[in-house]
This record gives sequence, structure tokens and C-alpha cells, in this order.
Amino acid sequence: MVGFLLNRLLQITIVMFIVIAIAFSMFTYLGDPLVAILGADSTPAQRAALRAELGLDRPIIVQFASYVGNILSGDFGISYRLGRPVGAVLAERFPATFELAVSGMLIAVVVGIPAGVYAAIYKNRLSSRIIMGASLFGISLPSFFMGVLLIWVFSVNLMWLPSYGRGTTVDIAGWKTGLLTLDGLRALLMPALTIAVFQIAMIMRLVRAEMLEVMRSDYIRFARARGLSERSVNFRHALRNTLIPVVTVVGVQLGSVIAFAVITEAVFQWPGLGLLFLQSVAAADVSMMAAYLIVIAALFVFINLIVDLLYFAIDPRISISSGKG
Amino acid sequence: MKLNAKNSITAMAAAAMIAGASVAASAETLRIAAQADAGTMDPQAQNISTTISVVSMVYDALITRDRELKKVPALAESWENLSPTEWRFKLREGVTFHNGSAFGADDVAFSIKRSQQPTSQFSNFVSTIEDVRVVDDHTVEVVTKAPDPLLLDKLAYIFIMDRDWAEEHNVQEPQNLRDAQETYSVLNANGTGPYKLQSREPDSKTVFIRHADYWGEMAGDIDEIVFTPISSDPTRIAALVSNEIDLVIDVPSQDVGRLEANPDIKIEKTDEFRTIFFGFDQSSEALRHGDAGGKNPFKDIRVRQAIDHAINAEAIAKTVMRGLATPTGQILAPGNAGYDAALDVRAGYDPENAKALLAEAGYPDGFAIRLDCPNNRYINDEQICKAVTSMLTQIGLDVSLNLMPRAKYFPMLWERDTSMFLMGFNSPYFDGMYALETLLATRNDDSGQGIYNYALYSNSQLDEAIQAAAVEMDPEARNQQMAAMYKMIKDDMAYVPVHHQVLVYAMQTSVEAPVRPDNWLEIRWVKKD
Repeated sequence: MVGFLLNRLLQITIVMFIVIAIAFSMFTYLGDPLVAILGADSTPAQRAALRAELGLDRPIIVQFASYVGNILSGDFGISYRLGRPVGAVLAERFPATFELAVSGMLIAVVVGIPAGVYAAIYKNRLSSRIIMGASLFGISLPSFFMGVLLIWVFSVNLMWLPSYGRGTTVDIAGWKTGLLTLDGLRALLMPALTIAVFQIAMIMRLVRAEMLEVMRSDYIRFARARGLSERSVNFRHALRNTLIPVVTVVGVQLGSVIAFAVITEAVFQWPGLGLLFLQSVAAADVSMMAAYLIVIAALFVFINLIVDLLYFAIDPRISISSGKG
Repeated sequence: MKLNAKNSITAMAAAAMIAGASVAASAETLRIAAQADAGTMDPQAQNISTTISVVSMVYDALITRDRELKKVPALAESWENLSPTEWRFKLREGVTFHNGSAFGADDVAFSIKRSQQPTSQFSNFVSTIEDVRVVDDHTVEVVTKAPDPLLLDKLAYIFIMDRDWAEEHNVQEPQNLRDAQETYSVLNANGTGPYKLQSREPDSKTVFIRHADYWGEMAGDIDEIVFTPISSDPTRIAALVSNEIDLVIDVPSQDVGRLEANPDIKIEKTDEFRTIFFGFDQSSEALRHGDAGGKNPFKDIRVRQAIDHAINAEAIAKTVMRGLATPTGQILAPGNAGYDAALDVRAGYDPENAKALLAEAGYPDGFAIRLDCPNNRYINDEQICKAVTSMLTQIGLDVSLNLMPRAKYFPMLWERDTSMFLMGFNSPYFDGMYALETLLATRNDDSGQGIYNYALYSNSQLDEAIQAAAVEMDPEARNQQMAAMYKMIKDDMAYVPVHHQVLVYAMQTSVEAPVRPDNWLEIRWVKKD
């Protein structure tokens, strides 16, 4: 276990170093931060002064070293677009994205797993075929289109739900939550659903495929042979073993939903990390973009680690010494 | 399962309705949406129209404009010239900032000097000011380095801050980039304007409430303003149509027609002070990007005229811009001092003539050229350049289109690393002089002349005329001088103009929001019944 962890930490260090190097290179290749600070219309003298003030006139390797140093001490620099520390802005936006991603995944799990089980157990029924057909639709529908469609139906025509924003939020120890007000929940519904649609379809198809696989295995046949009830076979034996890969996928998907809720957040003006990233790109706010990249990479690394550790917990067959990676 | 999901939404939505959450706001709240948020609440950090519009709800300047766009007193009650370089301003008495402290001459001197700081995006506006003298509590004198006929127009953009408040919160500079610390004035504000900043969540929501002691007059009776950026075009328009928003100040051009047909929505339009035009490197001996046999064709006026004849500006206005552009023959928009309608005529779309001019200039088979173009700066910039690329191909040029985001585009122009480029420009102060000084005067980085002269255009006769007009204090004489200069550059085809953009606001029929051509939403003119 210790060897595994050490091995993992070494890998993580290498990955994060590469990510930081890529993030840093954005400063050089993705546009000039001076445009964001001074505007498009500035004098050469103003630009030279600011370049010196920000240390952008130093050799590139010195800039990189100081950037790595700052990151290690938790300082991501200042957002040129917002005039505020990047770390503080990221922390402020994270709750919105987290609540959206978690509620989207929650809907997906609550709907997707039973649907997948149903489609697996009754794989020959017409209703299962309809569910499978619908899931194909859900997987192929772009989230932008899904979002606009929901807005058109529930905001423009029915006028039931707000088309943008987070509604009223409540501040609990610095974490702004929209889950405690009716207004906030109403605002959450459509964005969460937009995220869920794809995930429902994916989880459902995964659960169905895994379940069918498990149902063919010997221990299920033995369980049946022992005369256990259908119900007990399906849920106690089959579903439990099906869930191992599902946990992995849900974990990784939660990470990717947090990282790539960009489109959904943009459609609903959801004030989270994705929208922040999009607006930073438009304004060439490179320090923000670089920090976003690093944070998201760290998030993925972290989630992967957790998932690996969960494997140990759930499945006793995976040996610790083998260092499955 | 899909069906179940849908049913449950319906149920939840219905529950929300029953619980009595209402979508409509009370009559005295105005909900404004724009494409992007104001970048900051600091009055001197960002010279962008959305930011100016939002900040102007909280802050006042010494001078403002009335509905006819004439300069009228704001925090300055009156002014006089002691000499061509000395101005005395009598300040309004009894005005208080939102935190209750009194407004006075110290605040004016402080704010003007703050605007001169390197991180102020308004430093060009106050660069002619040598000194600001506090005479007494309600009198200041402004001394300029040379006579500046536009001083008042420039001061209309300089918002007045409370000096004590700024010092208390350590915001004597518009941005503090060195210390990587939060600049207090980015999220907080204390002005004398009609609205107080109530709460601010960047990129999400900013709320203002009426300042009860406001000194000025308001057209309407709006108690509260909620400003929301909604970056997605369809969502912003959906929010307007579903009555979640009262006023949209960034209307996507493709939606204007549909909104005009909607009886619940009202559209206001005006010609914006922004002209879109093409520029050419007129200095290099050979094309920097392109191939014309070692020569630079753009040094020849006939080639520039050929390009002008090749561009079908009417077609661009009609198709690319969906009617939301006015084709123009010069780079100054109507409504600016120095504008002459007689010059605002295009030579006309004539590809045959264009080919003949190219042949006459020695390029019967055309030449290869790279056209540089931003893709996120001006309305439909990318599509304009694509259209022009095909138009230039028709007269025999071999055009390679180089599209770039603005953060890479402008640094390239700063280096003058271009042969042909698209640009949009609005001369500020409702006056044509700034465009002449910065786009057309020979480049001189020390004096600031020609800083945006990416064409490296140089005309000594024009330079002299600019010098003379810059210190001409008689408005009539000045206007004539400017009109003469604009004729000079039109005759010389220094730039090839395309069109002026049209500015569109969309609102609920209960709202009245006049559009200023400089895209400054003047909140004091807005009404809601």
C-alpha cells in the first residue's frame, strides 16, 4: 500500500509539473495580458512600464521559476480581467459548479442505475428497447441544444423557470449555496437536468452492459441453482458486482462534469468555474486560464487517486501489492 | 424513464409555482442584461463602454451631456477660461457621497490625478493637464500644458471619487498589480451618482439602489437596478422575451428582426460612433506579408482606390450586418465635431474600375496579400473579412485571410507587423480630432502622436494642420479645419472605410431607454412605467 502510494505520488508530481509548464506557456503563446489590462488602445510607453512592473521583461526561465514558486505557495497571481487574486475568485466560483455537477450527477445516478438494471433484467421487453433508444438520443443531444430547448419550453413559453443565473444564494461560512432557497432550486433545475441527460444515458448503458455480463457469470448461475429468489439474485448478487466499474465511471464523470460544464454554465449564465473560464478566454486573462488548467488537472489527479483507493475498498480481489494503476 | 424525468420536472415546477415564487419583479426595479459584465467598479481602471455605463450609475463627472448631447454642468456648476491654458471650475455645493461625506475640491484634484496614473485607462484623457489647483472648498483650477479645446469633453469621462475613502481603502491607484492583492475599489464604490452600489457578484449580478440625496434630475422613478451579464445570446434574448429582463443593451444582430416582430418588445437604434475600415502598411518598401514582386503596392494611391472600388459595402451592410450598419465614405461618424456629410459618400462598388486601377499601377495580374483580421472584437468582424476576401479575389488579388483573437491581434498591430488590417475606431469626445491625432498623424511614440497609426501613414501637410487645430480654441474655426483635414485624408485614401455600426437596445414596452451613439447607457434618462 505504501509502495503504491509513493509510486502514485511520484506520478502525480510529474503530471502536475508538466501541467504547470503547459499553463505557463499559455502566457507566452495565448495572447498578451497587456491587452486585458490596458485595453487595445495603449501607448508603447504605458506597455513598457507595465511589462516591467509585472516582470514580463525578465528572461522566460526566470519567469517560469518564479511562477512555479508562487504556485507552490498557493499564489496563482492576479486576474488581469477582474483585478482580483485568482485563488480567491476560483474559490468563490467553485461552490456553484460543485452544486451543479453534484446535483446533475445525482439525478443521473438516481435515474440511470434503476433504468439500466431494468433494461438488463427485462432486456427483451419493448419498454427496455424504448429506454435504450431514448438513451441513444440523450447521448447524442448536444448540451447547448438541450439547454436552449429547456429554456424555450420552460422559460419562454411556460414561464415557469428562470432562464439564467443561480437565483438567491445563502452564504454559509463562505460557501454560497443555492440549495436552501426555493429560488435557488428553481434556477438549478434546468442546468442540472441539462448535465444529467447525457450522464443518465451513459450510466444506464453502462449498468445494463455490466449487469448482463455479470448475469452470465458462474456465481449467478450457482445462486440461481441454490434456489435464491430472482430478487435476491438480481440485487444482492448481480447489482452489487455491477457497481464496481460504475463507481469508477461516476467518479471520473463527476470530475469531468466539474471541469467541462463550460457549455451548460454558459447557456444558463451559471456563475461557476466553466463560465469563468470561458470569459477568461474571451478576455485573454491568461493567469486565470492557467490557474484553471492547473486546478482542473489537480482535481482529476485527485479523483483518480480516490477511485483507485475505492477499488481496494470495494473489491477484495484486487491485491494491494500488485499496485494496480 | 425519460418520461418519468420529465414528469418530475413538471411536478417540481408546478410546486414552485404554487409556492408563490413570482417571475415578474416589482415596477420600480429595472433589470438590465448585457453580454459581458462590467470588469470593475473602479471608475478609472477600464475604458470599456459596458464598464463606463455601469460605473456611471454610481459616479458623476464634472460635466455631463444632455439629451441633445450638449455639454452641461454636473458636479461642476460653472466654468470659465482664465487664459487659454487655465480653467476655473465652480463646484456644486451640498453634494454628498453615498457614505455621507461631503463632496469638495480636494476630491476633484485627487480624481484627476488618479486618472493620470499608469494603470488608469483614462490617462490619455487627462494627459494635457499640467496641474490641478484647489482654490477653495468649491473651486478648482485646471492648468493645461497647451491650450486644449477638448478639455471639457475629456473631463466628462473622469468620474469623481471621494479622496478620504480612496485613501482609507488604499486605492489611490486604479489597479494594484504588483502586490497581487484585491483592489478594494473593484468590488466597492462610493460616488455621488444617482445609485448606490448595494451588492456585487462579478459575472453574476450587481444591484444598485437609489441614492435618496441625489442632486440631479431623473427621468424616471426607478428605485432599484439589477445588472446581469448573460453571455449566451439565445439565453439573453429568452430572458427578455420571458420578461425576466427589462432592457438588453447587447442585442445580437440575428435577433433584431424577430424582436421587432414581437409586440411586447420595443427596439431602439442609433448609428454608433464606431467606424469599421481597412488600413494598409504604407511605409515598408516591400510587402511584409504577401508577394508583389518585392514592392509594396499600398504605397500607390491607385491600389488603395482599387480596394475601395472592390469592396461592396452596401452588400456587407445588407447581408453580413443584416441591415445594422450604415455604409460610409469616411472614418468619422455623423454627430462628431468635424464631420462633413459631403465627404460621407462612397466612391462606389466598381470591380472593373478596380481592375483597371490595379493594371495602371502595374499589377494587371494582382498580387498576393495577407489580410489580418480580429475575430472577437467588432460586430461580425470575421464575416466582414471573409466577404472582403472574396471581393478582393474578384479583382485578381490572391488574399490569405489571417483571423486572430483580439489578444493576439492588437499586439501584432502594435508591432506594425501587418500589411493590410481591419480596424474599428470611435473618436471619443464627440469630436474628430482624436482620430486625426492618433490614427493619421505621423507616428511619434514620445508625443503620443499616431499611436494607433498602424498604417504608418505619414503626411507632413496633414501633420502641420493637426498641430494648428489642436490648440485652436474657436469651435467654428476648428470644425472647418477638421473638415478640411478629413477631406485631405479621403482624397489620399489613407484608409478604406466600410461602415458605421448600428447600436441596438431591446426592452419591454414599459421601458424607455434612449441610445447614446457612444454606447454609454445614461441611466438618468431611463424610465419604466
